[in-house]
Amino acid sequence: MSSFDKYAPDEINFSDEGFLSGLEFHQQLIANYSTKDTHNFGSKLFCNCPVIIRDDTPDFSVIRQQRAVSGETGEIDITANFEKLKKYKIRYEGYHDTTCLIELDEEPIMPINQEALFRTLAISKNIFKLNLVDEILISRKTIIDGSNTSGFQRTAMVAYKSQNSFIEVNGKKISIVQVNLEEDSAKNTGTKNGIKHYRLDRLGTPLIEIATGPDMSHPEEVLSVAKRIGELLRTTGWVRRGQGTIRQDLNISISKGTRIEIKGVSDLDLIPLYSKNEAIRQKRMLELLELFKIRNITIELIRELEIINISELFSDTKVSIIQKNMKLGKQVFISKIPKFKGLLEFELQKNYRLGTEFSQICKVISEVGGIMHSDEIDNYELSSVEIKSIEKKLSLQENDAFIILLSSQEQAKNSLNGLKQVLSSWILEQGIVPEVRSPRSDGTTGYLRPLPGKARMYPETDALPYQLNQTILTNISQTKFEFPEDRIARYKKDFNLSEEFSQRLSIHPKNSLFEIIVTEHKVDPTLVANTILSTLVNLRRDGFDISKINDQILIKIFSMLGEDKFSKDALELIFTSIINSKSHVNLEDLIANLDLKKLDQKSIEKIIEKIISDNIQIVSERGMGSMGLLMRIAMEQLGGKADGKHISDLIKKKISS
Amino acid sequence: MNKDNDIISTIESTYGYYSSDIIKILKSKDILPGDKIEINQNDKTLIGNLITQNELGSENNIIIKLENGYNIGIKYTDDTTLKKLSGSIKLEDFKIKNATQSQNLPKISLLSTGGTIASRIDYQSGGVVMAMKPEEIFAGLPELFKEITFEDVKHLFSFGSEDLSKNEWKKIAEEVASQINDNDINGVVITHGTDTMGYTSAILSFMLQDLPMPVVLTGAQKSSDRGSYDGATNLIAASRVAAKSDFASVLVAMHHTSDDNYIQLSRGTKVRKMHTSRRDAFQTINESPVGLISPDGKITQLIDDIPKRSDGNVHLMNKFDDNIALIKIYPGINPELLDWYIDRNVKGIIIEGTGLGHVPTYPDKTNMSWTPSIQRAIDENIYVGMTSQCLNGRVHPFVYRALRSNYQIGVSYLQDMLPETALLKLGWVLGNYDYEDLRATMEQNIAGEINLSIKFKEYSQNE
Repeated sequence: MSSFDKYAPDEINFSDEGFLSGLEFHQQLIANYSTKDTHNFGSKLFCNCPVIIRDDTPDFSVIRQQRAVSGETGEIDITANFEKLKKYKIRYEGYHDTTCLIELDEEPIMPINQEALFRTLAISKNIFKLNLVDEILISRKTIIDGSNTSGFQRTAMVAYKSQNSFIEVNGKKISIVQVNLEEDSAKNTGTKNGIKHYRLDRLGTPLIEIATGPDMSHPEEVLSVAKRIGELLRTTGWVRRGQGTIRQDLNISISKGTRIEIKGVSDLDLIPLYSKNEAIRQKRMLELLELFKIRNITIELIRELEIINISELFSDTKVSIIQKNMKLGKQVFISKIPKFKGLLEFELQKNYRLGTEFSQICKVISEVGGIMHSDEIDNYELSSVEIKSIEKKLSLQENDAFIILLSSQEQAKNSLNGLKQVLSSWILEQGIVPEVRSPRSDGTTGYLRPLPGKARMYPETDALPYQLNQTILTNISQTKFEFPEDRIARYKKDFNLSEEFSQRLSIHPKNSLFEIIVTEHKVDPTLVANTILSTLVNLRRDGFDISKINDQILIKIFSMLGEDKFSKDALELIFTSIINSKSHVNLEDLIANLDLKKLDQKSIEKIIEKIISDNIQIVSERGMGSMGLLMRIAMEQLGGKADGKHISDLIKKKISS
Repeated sequence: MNKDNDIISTIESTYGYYSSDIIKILKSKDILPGDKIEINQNDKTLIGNLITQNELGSENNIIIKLENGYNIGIKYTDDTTLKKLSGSIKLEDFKIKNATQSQNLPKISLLSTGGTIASRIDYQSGGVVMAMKPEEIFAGLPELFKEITFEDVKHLFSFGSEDLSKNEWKKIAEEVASQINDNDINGVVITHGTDTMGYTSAILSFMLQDLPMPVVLTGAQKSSDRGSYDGATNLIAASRVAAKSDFASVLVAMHHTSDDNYIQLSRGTKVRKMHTSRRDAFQTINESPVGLISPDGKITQLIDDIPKRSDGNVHLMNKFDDNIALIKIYPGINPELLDWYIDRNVKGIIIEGTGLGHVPTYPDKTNMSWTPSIQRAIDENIYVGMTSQCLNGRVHPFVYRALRSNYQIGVSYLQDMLPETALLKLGWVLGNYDYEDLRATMEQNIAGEINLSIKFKEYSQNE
């Protein structure tokens, strides 16, 4: 028997292996469907539903099933074919007020969100210097994992590479090759009782996709490029931020390997680890395929794999995991994996063995919770009688391995078919097979599906082609973007903001609001920046619904502050009062009711004088040491009606006089 | 129109809607749609396969399919050069795998008449075309072949259902009758466009008398290219009903709700498309659905009053007189409209009245009253039948005084009959009965079109 190192290496030399990576950066765009929409949520790409991602109980749900269909050439696409092995129901959950028949695939789409398209074009042209497509055509990309109610994702390529379309990262030019505008998928909220659950709230959200060339030669470089693209997008103020609004697809290859797509990385910081692990996996896969050759593992051997139901042998088993699954109505299936003995322990990535890959394949195909295999059978405390009977049932030879599946008959059958399909493709290819892998939280990746061919794209019949015209081109050329570094410098210079505030605000979605407030009203820019970056955020964290403080209200508040209608110390109180008020508020009335009208100088002095005289004993005893106490009393009485700094100056003056 | 323009299968037509200049250039380079080309324009180079331009695109933009699958249009300018490369893609080359059929299963026949269920994407133009062979319709349904054998599969037309009328209805009825009378089958499935499926189901209900087995119409609201295609589950359920159910009636099988779950069976004369796009667009009106079919094929019967499967032949009565009209009443509608029809010598008119079956009678403005024109129609021996645009509920001639006079004139009140069903029944009665029997036959229940006892739950809003 051939010997091999079952552990994957910790490190790899990226330049020796010819590591190359490209990136597809996806971020949700904020763009209202109609100029009449007054909300700030942005709309969907093909209807005017607002984009509001929710976690409250859905109002309704529908149950659907999807089928593999033949594509453009009449052939069922390899991916769709793979998905066909899976048979499951899907439950789509929606909300009456924020989703409509279009997300439900019950009505043809409306014309494309013009603002989303314009923003994508402007970003493509002005930030990434791409060529714009003269006639934009919306395509349907077949996706039948259930994440789209229609069975496809709508996507359009809007721009392609030019001689100048690159960004500079750490002095290196990284080419930007394509920008697409597409709709986001529905959010998977888990599988319950064999039914996949998806939420419709996210489905149809406009996504801008920016693709780089395969120009990154080190995992850390992939991260830097992702960060830079993210920064550039955020300066526009047109992209959504926060969890789940950004997703990367990584394309990784080594020179002896092939392009592998890692789909949907949402944690940027894990990019280097995924990249490294994929390079290691490709190298290890090549070693594994060598072992296949040495062991003479052929496609004929794989084709002969079959499942055998041995549930009756386990009716009295002591193995708790098997007991538990059988109680749930599952059965016990086994299959011989000839000549694989020991190989299932072969690590493809750190702590990710071939056996793990097998489990992953069974999981994505038929939701089988996991499989056991002969190389790790000692972990499960099967009795020697049980092992013997399995070996006998399979007529196991010395070099053979086996797997145990705890599932229904259909799941087991589909799982094994999936395994056979994947293993055959490895042997046929004699190398790494192009595929899509999904990121796992530990930095490894698991099998997801074969890499789709172009057969899965075809024209969207319900949409008009979109031709660029001079008006749009003029509007685009008049749209100016400031690069992050330029904006930071301007904030420091024009508004006297600190380095930290300038940096944070430069990529904040509300920075255009900030600029409107500070240029149109007489208010301290640092106070406005602090309100946007910190005060409101803190209120939200304290559980206040700050969506009530919309842009118009914020502008109005600062305009009144600029007119000295109240003190800046009252800001927070005003915010919480607005949020807590049940009905629509008139700001003037609210401030009047809060009794926040700034007091004139004389009244303030009078109150302070009274405080001092009330506490004259302490003042005379402690002198300036009584400041803290006096300040507290004064703020209690005056809070909101006078500025804290002003009060403290007055007290100081009075004490020392 | 110049006769030459009628020939559509020229080389030019495959280019679709490109400008004649572009077509000239493409031809000079021997480039056809599907061919791989390189487009050079200043510093840009793009490689892809040429796609036919469709009627909504710009004639001066060259559409290509890129290697990555995206289609884009590039404006053809003076600086543009085109080069043909090797490697054209062949489109529209569908491979149909014919399923092996077992002989010991219940047999049905399938008739295809076009519609979304028989349509697929034309990938060159991106439009939906009706070009699917019936074999393609069920090629993707391998599960069906474990239960049912298709005795005969016939493609009758490739029309959108809006283009089906008298002649096609006759042909379908004839074909169904010959399938039933000449073959040893359990039932017939008809695939049909959804727009007028209710019309066809109604007229077949009358044309196929003494029907001994189920005739089930089904269709699709979503195109067959999508994973969410509803036609598959509809067709599976329809086939099961045709093969195994006990209902000897013309039925429509479509989604019960927006779920891909139960399929609803409606009586052919009581069903109507009530939504432009939803899967559950087909609702039974003024009656409960005949039954529901569960995903695993279990058929639950919901009403008793449905003919049972029997031996014997279907009696074909497929004459149809289309010298008829349907008028929808609205406030202020001019009665001259009715006079126009009378002058055109129609033999019968169905009025879709307001509410309980009203037409304007204007006691103060006699020139706008419909009563004189109705009187004239009846005097001229033209049948006038009254239905309601409420659809749900029954017309009634005695509730209001103004209506009583219409009744006295001789308007025929058609109970809870759907206006479209009444119209087609009228054409059928005119075609197959003596004129003196017309009114009595119209008012008599022939194919479940009249429900004399509507139950509380038989109104969709009550569900």
